[in-house]
Amino acid sequence: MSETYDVVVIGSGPGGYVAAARAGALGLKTAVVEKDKALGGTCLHRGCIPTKALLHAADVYGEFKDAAKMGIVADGVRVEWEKVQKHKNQVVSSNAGGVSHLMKARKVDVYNGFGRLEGPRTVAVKAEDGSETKLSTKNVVLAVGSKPRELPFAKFDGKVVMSSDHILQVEKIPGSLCLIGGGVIGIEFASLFARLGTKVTVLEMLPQILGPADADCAKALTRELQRQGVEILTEVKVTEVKNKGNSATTTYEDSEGRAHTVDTEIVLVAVGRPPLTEGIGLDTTKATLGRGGFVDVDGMMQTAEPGVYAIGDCVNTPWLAHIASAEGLIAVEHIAGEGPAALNYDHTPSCVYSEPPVAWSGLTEAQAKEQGYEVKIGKFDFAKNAKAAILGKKRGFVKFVTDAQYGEILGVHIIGPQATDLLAEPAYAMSMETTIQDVATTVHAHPTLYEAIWEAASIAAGRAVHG
Amino acid sequence: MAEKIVMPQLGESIAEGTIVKWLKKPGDSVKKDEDLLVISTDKVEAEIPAPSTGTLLSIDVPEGETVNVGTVLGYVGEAGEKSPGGGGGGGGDAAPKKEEPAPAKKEEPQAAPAQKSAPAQSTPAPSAPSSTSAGRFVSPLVRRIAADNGIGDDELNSISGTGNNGRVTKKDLQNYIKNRGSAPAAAAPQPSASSSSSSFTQSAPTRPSAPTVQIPAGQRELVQPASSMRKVIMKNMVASKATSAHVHTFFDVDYTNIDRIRAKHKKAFKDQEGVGLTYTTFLAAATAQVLKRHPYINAEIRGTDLVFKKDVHLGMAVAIDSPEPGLMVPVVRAADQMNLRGLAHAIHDLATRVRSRRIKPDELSGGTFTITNPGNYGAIIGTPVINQPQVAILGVGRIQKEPVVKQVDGTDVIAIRNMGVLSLGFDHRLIDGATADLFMADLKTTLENWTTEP
Repeated sequence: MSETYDVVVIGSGPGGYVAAARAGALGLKTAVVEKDKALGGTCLHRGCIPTKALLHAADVYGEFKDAAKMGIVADGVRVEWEKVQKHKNQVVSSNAGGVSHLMKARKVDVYNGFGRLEGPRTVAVKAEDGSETKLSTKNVVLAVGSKPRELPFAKFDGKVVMSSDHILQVEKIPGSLCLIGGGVIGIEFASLFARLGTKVTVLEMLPQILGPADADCAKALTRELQRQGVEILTEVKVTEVKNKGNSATTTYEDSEGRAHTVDTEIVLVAVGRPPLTEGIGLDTTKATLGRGGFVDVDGMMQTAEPGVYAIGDCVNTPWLAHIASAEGLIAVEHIAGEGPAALNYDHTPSCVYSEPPVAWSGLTEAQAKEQGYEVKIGKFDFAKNAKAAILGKKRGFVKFVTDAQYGEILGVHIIGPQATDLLAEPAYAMSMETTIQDVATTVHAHPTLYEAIWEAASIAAGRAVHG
Repeated sequence: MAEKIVMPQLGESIAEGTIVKWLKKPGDSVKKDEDLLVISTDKVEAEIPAPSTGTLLSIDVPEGETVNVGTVLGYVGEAGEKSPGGGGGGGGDAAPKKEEPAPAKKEEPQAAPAQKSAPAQSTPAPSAPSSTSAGRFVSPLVRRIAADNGIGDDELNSISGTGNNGRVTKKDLQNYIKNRGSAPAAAAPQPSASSSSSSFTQSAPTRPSAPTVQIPAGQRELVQPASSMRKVIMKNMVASKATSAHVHTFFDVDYTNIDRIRAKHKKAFKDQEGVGLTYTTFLAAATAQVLKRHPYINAEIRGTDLVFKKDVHLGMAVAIDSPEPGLMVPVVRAADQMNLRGLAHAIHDLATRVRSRRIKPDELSGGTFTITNPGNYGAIIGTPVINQPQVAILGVGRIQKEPVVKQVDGTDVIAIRNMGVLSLGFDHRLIDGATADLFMADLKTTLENWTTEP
């Protein structure tokens, strides 16, 4: 027992490092334990940041190709994949350096190794060389994250059958790609590679892609991806993946039970991320695991063991970096006695960085109706927005789902140019519990993309101008 | 040199006060420590003395306004001096020409810095969002739902919020509306505030009498604005019913033992101590002792946390009738550490000072459990309302001789015993029926087998 900490955070992803930085700022004696060599976790090394770096390259490539339509002609535009990868790797390493620096600035001790609970007040850190350090602490925040799910009939080999971890490092742009799973992760890779010339097939078990998204957005994105040449098959069941060394044959059944096959260079399995809660010593505490191996927590992210908290992908809340961060802040602020408010998961944003991008927060139209609201929809197409026409990105819409009685904004769903940034305004409006009338009576500048938000709000509030 | 009259910090938890009445007009001469004005906080009314001898130069906050602690209310200086506050008044002339009170002047620019420098200004802890912090942010959505359900600002302020900085969210308001609607069904109807929470100190000479109202001849009704104390009572009673799931349990208690001890010491006690040895003294002693064994009764619900209190701070409901009927609950701190003599003095002292309006706001807060005594007026028992944020309140019914069937040597006999009923109003959110009854059974046994003499 070398040290006694106020908080030891296990895992330095966007949940863990944010929790540790905040704990340090609150004056708590804090340590963070990371099993990987660099800090940052899945988000920084195998998730949000590298995928978005690659997707941005595809965006830029797309802009060049479309520029001729508005009179900017660039000949000989080509993708040099190694340089794209290099740019991505630089972004990742510079961000990882930033996380290390932040830990130092906030006086957070960093331990490299696998962290495991030995009772609720001790964390054993096993380093790569097998040596073990024991940290004594008053509180523990488990931010151990998740990993890509493997299918029993499609074992990862990293060459043909890949997880999202593998495909981020792929050395060349594949000629063909079969995606098992049409959720957010899968769809971003579909959008990336389709725009770089890959023949992409998406196999989705559910009736729509982007599981939790509003049906209108899912439908619109399906149409856009199909226009880009992506084959999207829904309500199909993958039964076999035959890895032939250089390519694979994927067999799937359609909704009528007929079997089909698709041959591709690469199969990407993106069917969810189970939590990494095995072997972390939870059984030495009163903390409990619920369905799917997620750690059970309360609104303050505390487990059944007082002083042991869990956040991010290892608890049963959406797999999103910003949710992990928010949860990490709640946990350490609760430890510090700051009295944080519990997170309202109805007001957390989700983003898909496809082309066009999709972003939403709150209830879908179907969910709102199911919950018994008298739903009023306000939907405005970017086709009628001047700035979207100037950008040459007229596909998509802003859709508000509101409660007719009080004008509550129950949900907002955007697909179209800058959707992931445009979400900020309506997401803030929802979190502050303003009404749709407040958004509709706020003056929005012209010409902007976010005028579409005002137009959609005006329609929902019954004072449409152009809608 | 003009001197400021500032809104004083009357206690740790007091952030603002209301000007009830100015006792002097601008231009009037005042003596140091002479009462200048009356203010009221959400706990008490108090007279504010002049900071120095001189002339009241200006009144900068008019009657009826509520301002933060530290706000400059006016200035006292030399006759003829100009008030730095600029409030209306007698600048230049000792005899005011105007009969009307000085015009109001908004104090914001001065109030802000003054408030910062006020000592012991405690910012409310974020972990315990004040349920009465007036003027907090109310979202447009919450406002619309509140308006639709006839909930005004005061009532909104009384709802405890779970949002950021204790903000009331839509869910909080919906829960409040839902519980408000169903609360009365859970318990017997409340007869009235006064029958459930009445006076202690049977020996006190200033026992309140029934309130009277003079309706002017020729009028069918008398309309008068509620006093600040009445407003607080109205708010607290409704807020408590809306917050806690009120349930009551009743136990009869044989006080014969205590009565014997009391009768034996009564006269000597009064002669030596100058205060009476009342049933209340014994009840407070027994309750404090028993509470130590029942942590769930001496507790609080704070958000989703259960807070158990080590200290036993006993609130004692005291009825007052002057200047108007009302009710206050002063707190006997660390009651579990006092003997009968200490308790008798503490209770008498607090009750006397409540009635003479010399109680300090801090002495009215921080209780962990409350005792109220409707039996004082002959009630068999009452169903008291919980004093938030506590989770239980003990009601004491009248004590009188009654025929009781007892078994002596295997034979049933009718005995004359001093009997009374105790009720426990408890918050069923935290306290289960069994928990409440175990506490009451313990209290009953403790009282019936009482041996400690004063």
